[in-house]
Amino acid sequence: MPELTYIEAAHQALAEEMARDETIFVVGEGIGPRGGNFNTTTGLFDLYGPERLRDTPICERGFVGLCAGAAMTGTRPVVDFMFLDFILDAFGELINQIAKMQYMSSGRLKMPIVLRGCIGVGGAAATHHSGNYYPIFTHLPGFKVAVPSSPYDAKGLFKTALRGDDPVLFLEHKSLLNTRGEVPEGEYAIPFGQAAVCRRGEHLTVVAFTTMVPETLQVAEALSGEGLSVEVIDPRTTSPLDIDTVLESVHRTGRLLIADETFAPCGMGAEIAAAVVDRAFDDLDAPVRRLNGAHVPTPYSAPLEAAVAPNREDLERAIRDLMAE
Amino acid sequence: MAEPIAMPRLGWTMEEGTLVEWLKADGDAVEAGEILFTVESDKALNEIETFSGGILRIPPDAPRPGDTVPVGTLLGYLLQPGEEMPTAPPPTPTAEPVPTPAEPELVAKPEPAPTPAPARSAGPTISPRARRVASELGVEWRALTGSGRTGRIIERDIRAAAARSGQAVPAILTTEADATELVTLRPRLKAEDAPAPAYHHLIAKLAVVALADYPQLNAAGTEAVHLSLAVDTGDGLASPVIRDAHTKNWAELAAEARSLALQARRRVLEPEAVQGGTFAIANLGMYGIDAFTPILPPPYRAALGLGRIAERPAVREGRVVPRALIALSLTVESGLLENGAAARFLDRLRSLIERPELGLLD
Repeated sequence: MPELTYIEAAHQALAEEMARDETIFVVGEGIGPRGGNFNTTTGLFDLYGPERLRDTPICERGFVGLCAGAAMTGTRPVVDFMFLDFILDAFGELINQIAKMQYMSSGRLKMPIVLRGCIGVGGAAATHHSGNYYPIFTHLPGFKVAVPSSPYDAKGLFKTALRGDDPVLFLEHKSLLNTRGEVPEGEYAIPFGQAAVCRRGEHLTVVAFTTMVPETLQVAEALSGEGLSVEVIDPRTTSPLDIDTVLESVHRTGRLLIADETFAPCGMGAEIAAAVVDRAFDDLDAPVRRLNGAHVPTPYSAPLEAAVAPNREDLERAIRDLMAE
Repeated sequence: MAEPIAMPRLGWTMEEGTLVEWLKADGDAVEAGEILFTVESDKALNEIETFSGGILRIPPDAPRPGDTVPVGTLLGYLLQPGEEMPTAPPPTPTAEPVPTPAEPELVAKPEPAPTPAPARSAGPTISPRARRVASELGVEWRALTGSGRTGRIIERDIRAAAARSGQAVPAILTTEADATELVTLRPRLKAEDAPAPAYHHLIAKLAVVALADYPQLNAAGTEAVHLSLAVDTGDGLASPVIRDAHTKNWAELAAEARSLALQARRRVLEPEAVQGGTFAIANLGMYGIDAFTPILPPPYRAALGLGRIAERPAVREGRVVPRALIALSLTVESGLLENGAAARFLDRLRSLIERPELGLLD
């Protein structure tokens, strides 16, 4: 099976779908001849020209609104925000129009729009280029939210995003973009709302998001040498969120840690902990724990940035601490 | 009985009120619903009605109109005909002083000692999971010392206690089932493309059906049954596992059991294929063994042993008749014996073997 980087895998999904469906077009800053700041559209301008790879000025609210109208009238826009942080300038269009239009029109209008961008802490990118935001979109009805952690998932989930009729946030952690992994050559799509059990284990369940998935897998491998068996689950989409897979796992392990780089308050860990306590109280042998980044704007200074995001040492400490409960 | 009339509390924060005016005189007969007096509080004038009838009496030392008195102060009585006014008025309930607004503290004073964490229940704390396992294994946990942080009793403490007290020593139950119907049925189950199922394949399906009612016997405690089926490889026993046996009908179970047995004999079973079982069945009938008790390796909670099916004399309605009989033995964690689940399961399995079509329908 060929190995691709994460960004190559997502690019493959976009290129295949653009070839298959001529209603797909991409809008964003520098996604035309330049091929995207993160090589998200490399080579596609040569194939499809400015009609389908439309460079824009820096006016997020304008082009997001424009794409909302285009989606309602039968095309499939992909808005490439580069850094997802810039989506914040378009919140009115996103939440009041894009997320609600299908409901307000009783389903007569569709909203097949993909909103993609890089998220996450890393590379001393400072707080305007380090946000995660997926808990915000998960909170709101009307969006689907994909947070792939591997090249395989990036391609499969992007395909599903491009073929659906709902607005989808497709969020790529920037420290994952150059990670490599096997991607099958053939056609495949990964349904939303289906968690991946990345590693089987017996003693403790870790539900991890985005970059915490590969980190947790490394820690789990290291701890297996001590006879500690850690199960690692990647929900892959936060909306819809696959709680059943988590419940099945906690039924076996009795211990649950949620590892998420982004902020803890009202986040994925809070949501999962509440669901597990509600539906699997009698399976819990210990309190449910969360490991999150510090609740502060991301610092620019590299040492400070490293201090606010959870790392492998933090993960290992959290796992050991929970085992000691 | 004399009914006291007191200064009412007319608002959440009202501490005192002014008796403005009596609208009835001392000695008047009043009826329920009539206004007795007016009270001023928080700059509002309120008319106070009575909920009972009687004769109004105002003691000579009661507050006079214009007096401001604390809430609850006695103002008068309602008497029934022939009653005397009580001589000693009941004590005024509002002894509490009217709070004065606190002066802001300008001088730093020591922080009060932190309140100790509220004591939990008097007994030891226990995790929800440990409580569940204790109930499943019949372990009395209140006297245990927990190994969790803060002394919390966790699952492993319960399992250790069960082992220490000998409760984990397996218990063995045996019974005999009449398999005559099963023997009659089996040849009719032969399909064109598959041989007739073995008896133990059919009994395995019936056991899975019975387990649905007694999930406590299943190692995972869930509905999902992964069935370990001991197979003679010609060189010792192997126990490949049929995954998700609860989702499979008898034909699928038989086909998978056959395929796994073949792999076992060829010694090409994957290591994973013998792991993760939740209920075990061993069959020694083919060796002519009448009955035996299977061992119970962890994490199994129950293991079923099948002897041979043989025609033997049986008594039916007072007459000795030949019937095909099979000995069933069930090795279980002793907690399952104590709470009756093992006996009920085995009895259910016996009745399914005796009327096999009920359990083989799907």
